[in-house]
Amino acid sequence: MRDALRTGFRAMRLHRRLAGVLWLSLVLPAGLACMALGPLTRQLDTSPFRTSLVKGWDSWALLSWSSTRAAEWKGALAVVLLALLVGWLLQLFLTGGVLRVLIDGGPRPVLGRVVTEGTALFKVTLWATSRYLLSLAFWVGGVGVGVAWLLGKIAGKSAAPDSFLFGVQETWLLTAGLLGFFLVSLRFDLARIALARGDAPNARTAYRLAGVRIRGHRAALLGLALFWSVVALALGSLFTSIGVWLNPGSGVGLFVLILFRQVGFMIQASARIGFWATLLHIDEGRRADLASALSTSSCGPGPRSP
Amino acid sequence: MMRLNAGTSARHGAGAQLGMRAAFFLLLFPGGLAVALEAPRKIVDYDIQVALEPKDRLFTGHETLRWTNPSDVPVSTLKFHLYWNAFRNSASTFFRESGGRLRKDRADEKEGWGFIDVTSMSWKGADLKKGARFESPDDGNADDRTVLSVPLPRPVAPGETIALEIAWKAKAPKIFARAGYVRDFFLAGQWYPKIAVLEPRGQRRRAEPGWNAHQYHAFSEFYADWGDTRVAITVPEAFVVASAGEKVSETRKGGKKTLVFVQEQIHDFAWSADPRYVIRESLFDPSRDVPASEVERASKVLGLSREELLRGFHPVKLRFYMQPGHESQWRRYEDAQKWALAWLGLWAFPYPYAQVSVIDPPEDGMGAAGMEYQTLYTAGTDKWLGRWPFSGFREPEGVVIHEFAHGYWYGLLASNEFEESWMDEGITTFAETVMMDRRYRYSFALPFGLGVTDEHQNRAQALGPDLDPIRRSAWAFSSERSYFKNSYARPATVLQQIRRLAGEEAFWRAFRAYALRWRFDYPTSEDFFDAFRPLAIPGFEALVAGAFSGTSSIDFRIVTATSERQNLGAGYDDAGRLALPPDEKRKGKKDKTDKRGPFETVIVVGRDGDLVLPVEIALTFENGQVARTRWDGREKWIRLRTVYASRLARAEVDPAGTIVLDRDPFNNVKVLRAKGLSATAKVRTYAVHLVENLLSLAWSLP
Repeated sequence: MRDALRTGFRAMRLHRRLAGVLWLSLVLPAGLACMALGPLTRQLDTSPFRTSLVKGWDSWALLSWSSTRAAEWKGALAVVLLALLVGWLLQLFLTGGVLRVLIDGGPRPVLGRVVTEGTALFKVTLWATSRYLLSLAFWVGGVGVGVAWLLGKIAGKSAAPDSFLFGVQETWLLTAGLLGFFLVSLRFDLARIALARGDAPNARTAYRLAGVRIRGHRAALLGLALFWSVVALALGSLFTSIGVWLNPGSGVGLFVLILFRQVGFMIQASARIGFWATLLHIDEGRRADLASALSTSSCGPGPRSP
Repeated sequence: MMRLNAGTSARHGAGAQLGMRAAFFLLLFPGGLAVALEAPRKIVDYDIQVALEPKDRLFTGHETLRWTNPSDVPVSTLKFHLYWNAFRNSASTFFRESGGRLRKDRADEKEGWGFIDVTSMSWKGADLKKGARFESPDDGNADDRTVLSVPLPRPVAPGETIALEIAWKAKAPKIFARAGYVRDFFLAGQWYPKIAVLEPRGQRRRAEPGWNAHQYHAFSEFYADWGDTRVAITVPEAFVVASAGEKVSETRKGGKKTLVFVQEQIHDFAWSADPRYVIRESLFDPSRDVPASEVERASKVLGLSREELLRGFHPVKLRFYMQPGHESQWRRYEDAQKWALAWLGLWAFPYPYAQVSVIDPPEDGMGAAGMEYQTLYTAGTDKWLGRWPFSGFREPEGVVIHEFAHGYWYGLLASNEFEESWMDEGITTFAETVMMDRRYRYSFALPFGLGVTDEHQNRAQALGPDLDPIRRSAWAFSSERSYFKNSYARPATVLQQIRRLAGEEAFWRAFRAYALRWRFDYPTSEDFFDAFRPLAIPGFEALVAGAFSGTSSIDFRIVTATSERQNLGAGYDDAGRLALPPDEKRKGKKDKTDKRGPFETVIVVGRDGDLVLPVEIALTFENGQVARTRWDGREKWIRLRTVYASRLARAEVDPAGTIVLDRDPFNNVKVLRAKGLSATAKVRTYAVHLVENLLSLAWSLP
């Protein structure tokens, strides 16, 4: 565990360019969102709220804006949702390449390599993602929410909202839901590592390998995942809080804010690299035990850059 | 027992006593309006015994009703409300109007029906039940059983008091709207045969005396006469009873207990029972719980001394009947309750009763949440609202403040909620927004110090076109949405509009005068308007006609704004010489635009909508000078022209945001030259960071 974490922190420090590549998956969709928000936000400068908004928050500006410009808001929100989807797909795309670069090291330029490797892995990653979403629907939706629904049915209409069964339902929903989400996601991560290493030719085999690798190590993996989640959330909260607190009142201030937030996102991206490096370290240790499983697979799913 | 203001005395009977305050009002309203009352005219007393059988949800009751004919004519028929018959079947007017759903709750059409049946009714031994028949004065629905008309063997003379003996059986409906049961929780509101209001000549500006009896509707149920009520409630011993009034005795026998509650000078009585209630008690102590800052503010605005303001305040017992799992939230209720007692006491008049009971309904009985009754009301919360990050949602405080404020605007000023729902809901919502925003700043507090105020939420709801005026019978609105908008948010916003047009001092003095004048009485919309008419508020009559009685709207906007160098010297002069425009003369020079004036500025301000209100227009010039002018807003547009040494930077209509009814504040400004940071850039930057935050959240998970 300690070695794995040390590896993660070392990777955070060493692979700043990789973090920069991951950071692109935020910046590009954010650019799309920025364009979509253009026509909507442009009205603010010719509105009575210009001064108050430059000073800070204005409750009435937000409410009257969303009430009187509902159609424009809907349009902008649709594009923002699209940007979020694009960003998520971009993360899937880049993560494959990032993993291969982390595994193999190799020459620069990092961006070119990540894109090449990501392209090679993207199709199979999408298959793995479909499997992930199905697993998520089953474990979180079916087992988490489904069992909670069943508990509610057993409790019946005559049970008080604070009765034992409703308490169990709530606890179940939170713990089983979160546990299911973490475990399913970890298996997806390990499957992507198996694909990136070339240990599995397709998503199905990669998932099987991930299942084997996760077996017996769930607690340790969960602990590590939780650790990196806390690190990332803490970083996110810190930079967001300071960003809101900065509340710039001038062009220079705004530039400083943008710079500060992007530095924050870069550090968060580095933490993500740290997480992947930690997982790779553990996965590496597990590979020795998996000779029999590996024998069923042949080679990687796509061309690898030299 | 009810507390009365110091120096006054309780009075029984129909006559009114003219005190110092009344004399003051006669001076204020020399037109000779009715005088302010120090206590209500007692019309009806109830002495009720009721037994609850929780298993069958049955209430078996008997009441002795003493009623005085307040009119100057003999009365030969009595009218009663039997409101639980609204839940009798799907043919009732309530059910037809609501479709069996209210707010977010739906009726249980298998087991949820309820009813109330009068089993006997007599006067001096004469059976009154025989000739009784149901009426539907509002909609002619022959299947509705909520208004009972009872002919008498002989007319009741003016001022005569009669005593009726009434027995009844009622089954509680399953809660989806206001009252009823869920599991072992019972809320008894509108639960007993209740006599309707016989309005004498002059009451609510009535020309001739007559009954004001309405059916139970989807959105209205309140209008009743004042009197004293004594209720003996028998329930299984395990049940905790929360009731209006003060408990005067408790006896136990055979696994049951009987609790007797008494409350003088009220017009509505509700109670609740639940074996699971967790009781928390507190005391409103004016010396501690009326904030000094609010006293100071009120003193300054109302022009009254601290002593005058605090006169009549007294300790009030507070009881909170909490559901298990919500116990920790009672402090939130308590804080809001104490603040409401303080605020309403200062800006209206001190709460006259000795206690308040706050019911916390269960989460599966939220149809009973947020209901007002006198000296008792239901609040409403969810266990999640007691936990981070939801604790910033001030829903529990908002409900407490709103429902307690009802105790003034439907309770102590007994308005007719059926016919003028805004006088209850609208004034209450207005008072709620002021109280909420002053105490909590935001009703929805978001992370990082952001949030949304209660007033702004209501203003946002009030934007947009209307099919209905505010003054309309509660059942006559075009839709549920229109009822809610025109009974809550829109009147609250119109009152904010009046407040801004009148100014703080004038508005609050008139507001307080209205409250004091109509305390213990039956005000109408016109009485409310009359309290403000002496102030000669600009645009007030337009608001009365356009917003209260009409569907008028208003949207000011800057249509055009130009500011160019005055071009007086160009063209041929009298000698026939041609002169070039000043800017042409400067062609080819380094500084092509001549910054020297004078500049001719022309702006056109328009008014969309048919509500006419005065407004201020501000012109800000590049040299920082601001010119202001007022426009009465009578025409649809106005052109302003000025010649000034500096060019116009910004033209703005309603720069102070006085016109809160303005439908689109975004078109109130034209900016020709802007300095400093762009709001667009700033907001867009934060919005983009939000998108990045959401995306980076994926990095926070495995």
